[in-house]
Amino acid sequence: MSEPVVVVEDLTFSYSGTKEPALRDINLTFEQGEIALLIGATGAGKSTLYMCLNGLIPHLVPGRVGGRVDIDGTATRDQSISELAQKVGFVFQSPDVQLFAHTVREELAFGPENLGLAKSEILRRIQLAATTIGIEELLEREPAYLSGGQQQSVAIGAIWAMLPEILILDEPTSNLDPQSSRRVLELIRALNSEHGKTILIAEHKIDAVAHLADSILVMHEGQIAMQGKPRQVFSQTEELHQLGLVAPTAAEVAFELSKYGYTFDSWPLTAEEGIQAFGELL
Amino acid sequence: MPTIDIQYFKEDSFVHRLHPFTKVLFEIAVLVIAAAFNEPLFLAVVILAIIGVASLAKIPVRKFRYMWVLAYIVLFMVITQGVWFTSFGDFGDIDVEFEWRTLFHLWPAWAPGGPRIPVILEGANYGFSLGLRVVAISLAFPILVLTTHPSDLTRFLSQIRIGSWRIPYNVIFVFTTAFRYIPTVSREFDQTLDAQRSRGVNFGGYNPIRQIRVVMTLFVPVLTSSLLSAHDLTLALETRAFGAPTERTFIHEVHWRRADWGVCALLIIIAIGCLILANSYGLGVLPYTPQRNI
Amino acid sequence: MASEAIIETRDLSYSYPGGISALSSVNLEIRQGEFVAIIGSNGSGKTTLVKHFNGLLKPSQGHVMVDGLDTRTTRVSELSRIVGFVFQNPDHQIFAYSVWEEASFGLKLHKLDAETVEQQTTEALQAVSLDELRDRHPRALSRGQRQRLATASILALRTPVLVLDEPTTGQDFLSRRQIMALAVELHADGRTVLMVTHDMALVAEYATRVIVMKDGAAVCDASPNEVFKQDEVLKSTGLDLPPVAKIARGLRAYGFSDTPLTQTELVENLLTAIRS
Repeated sequence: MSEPVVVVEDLTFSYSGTKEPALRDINLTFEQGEIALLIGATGAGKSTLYMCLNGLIPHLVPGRVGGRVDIDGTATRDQSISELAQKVGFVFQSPDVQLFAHTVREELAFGPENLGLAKSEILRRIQLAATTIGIEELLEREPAYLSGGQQQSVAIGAIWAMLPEILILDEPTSNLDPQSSRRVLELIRALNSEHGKTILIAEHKIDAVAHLADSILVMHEGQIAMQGKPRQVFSQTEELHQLGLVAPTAAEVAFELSKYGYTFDSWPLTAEEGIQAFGELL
Repeated sequence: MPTIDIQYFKEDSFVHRLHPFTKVLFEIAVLVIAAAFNEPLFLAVVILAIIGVASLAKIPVRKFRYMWVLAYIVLFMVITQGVWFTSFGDFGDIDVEFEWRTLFHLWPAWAPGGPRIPVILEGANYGFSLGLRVVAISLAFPILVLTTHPSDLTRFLSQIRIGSWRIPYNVIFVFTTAFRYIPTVSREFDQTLDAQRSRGVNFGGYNPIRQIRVVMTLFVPVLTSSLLSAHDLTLALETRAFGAPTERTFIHEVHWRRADWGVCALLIIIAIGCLILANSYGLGVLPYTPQRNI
Repeated sequence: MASEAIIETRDLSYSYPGGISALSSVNLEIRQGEFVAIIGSNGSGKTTLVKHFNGLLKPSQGHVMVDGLDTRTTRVSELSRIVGFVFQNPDHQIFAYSVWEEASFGLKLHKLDAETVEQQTTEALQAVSLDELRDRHPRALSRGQRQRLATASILALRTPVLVLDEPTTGQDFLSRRQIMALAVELHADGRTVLMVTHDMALVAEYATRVIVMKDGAAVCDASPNEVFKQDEVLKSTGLDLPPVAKIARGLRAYGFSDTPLTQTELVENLLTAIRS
């Protein structure tokens, strides 16, 4: 972890036709190679924030922007959406909507083709994305007829073929069953740890993702309400509750126990850590 | 529910392997030939040939099931032409000895008063041939889309050049991507149908006014969610550099085979042959063809 | 009075057109007043199963009896008076131009008099706290509010059975809690609640009975704690233990012997264990 790849300074945004800003005074940085977990209630401004990061705001979505967003050292307003598409990959919540090709192979090729890359380079990227994501055997299949988990993998693969440095995933497991969810999260972890990508992930299933994160961002009514290391944020359980959010189960239990005077050296986040921490009390 | 199903149908056949251009030429040939003849017998042969091509493509019969609608079109043509044929046509140098034959009267003889409204055999025959033309063209046209993989179609359309003009990629994208969303929309439709039936909506009642309201309960949610998905789709496209200022690469190739030369040559010969037969020898053309169509 | 079976399946088998078998010989009895969770991975047949409970699907073989009616010979519109079905995506049903219109639609179909319609609709909207917004256009509501509106439109029908299809998918914590609080209230009111879900915490916290589906068969039918004990069943169906059960199980190595299902129970059990 070294260079900040994303720097957001005093970002404010209001959609045209609205008075209330959807984002207010956002300040944050993402380090190269970190996984940031974004949590917040529906309507807290998460989607607006993504659109600011991948340039859809200010290039496509009309509204008033204040402050700046730098990706890779350059302001997003000075880069085109297609330039930004090669730096910030965005995976939508619903996999079915973002797959528009007739075969998985063409889905992976779609972005690079739009960029007008050489054919050999596109073929190389298809291969690379397919092997990294583990979807080689799906290449000739039709995306519309894949299972939800497979579709989500293909969606990630299609973004991977653009070779972005930063990946944003909006509730990538919300439509998946537990098994597929685990696989997708495992994949996301591998993309980070083996390929060093910077990842921003939004999820409601806190228990499933808390342990993946290097840092936590809590959004509330268009603002960053809390920010920090997982243990730090999830130990402030009361504040989370006030924002209508919860910490992972182990942290919640630890919080309840702490009311009775029990203390913990390291605030537990996962079930395993919880077992360890509560076991010591027993 | 009888729906028009013109999605690509995966199969390995001689027709599937042909280049999209060859298939487009086939459709043009059908247009030309169907226009050249108006003798029902000749058109029937043309239709049989098209059915032959469809079966060569191994297209299942169910894909053409919606064509029963055509029966009504044929019937409509037969009746209207049977009644009005003689009153509007300009028959030029038709034999003066020629006599129209009355098939039957729409207004039966035993019924009192009124014009009898004769249905003329020749008119009915001419109407029948017009109907058969529609049948021939309707059967032939889906064959291109049914047997051509959308990727091949996209690539082919992107290769069409008239001078320096090309079909813009976003137009092609919209056209071919529409097929991709057929399963998605039909899934949404099914889910909406389930949801509305679950709260007591009865589809298939007899009260027409009620049915309009009932259809709205399906139509509104499906349309709304399709529009919302379309909105997400545009955002998703932007994040994949759609419309980047550089010239787009296509990795997909469509192959032109030796068989394509053969089929194209054959189609041209048949089409020209039919034109000569019809125009110079009057074969397959009814003797009482109107000079100007009505 | 012993609780009666309100839904009963006898040798229920179902194949989709095209011959793909989705359910094979399912025998179940859902009794009045139960809170049943139906779990299983995608494609295990759980949604296919519940769609038989209001006749959306008709058995290929066997029978489904709902309150004594054979679903094969009863119209869905008839069964919709007994089984209310809340789907996952509210946008698949909302079509009206006002909240009130949407919520009262089902009642009007049942041809009830205006007074009853007004009363039951108002009550249902109050239950989901949308009564104040009754003249709003449904599109002007947030996703969570639309979900509640769809729920209200079913609640208004006052059906003795409620089926919730993945009630919390994609919902944030607050909406999740609201929906479940409502389900608990209805259950306490004597209604039978069935929910199809992936969320094991939900199962542990709310269900009195769990039916595990796998490859079109009900492979396990027991109380949550019984199901959580069966490692093989969970593993073969790709389901996780809910976090509370996972922690409790891990603590056995430290001499912890309780089997709490909710977070509150776990805390209480832990406190007792630590103090003793």
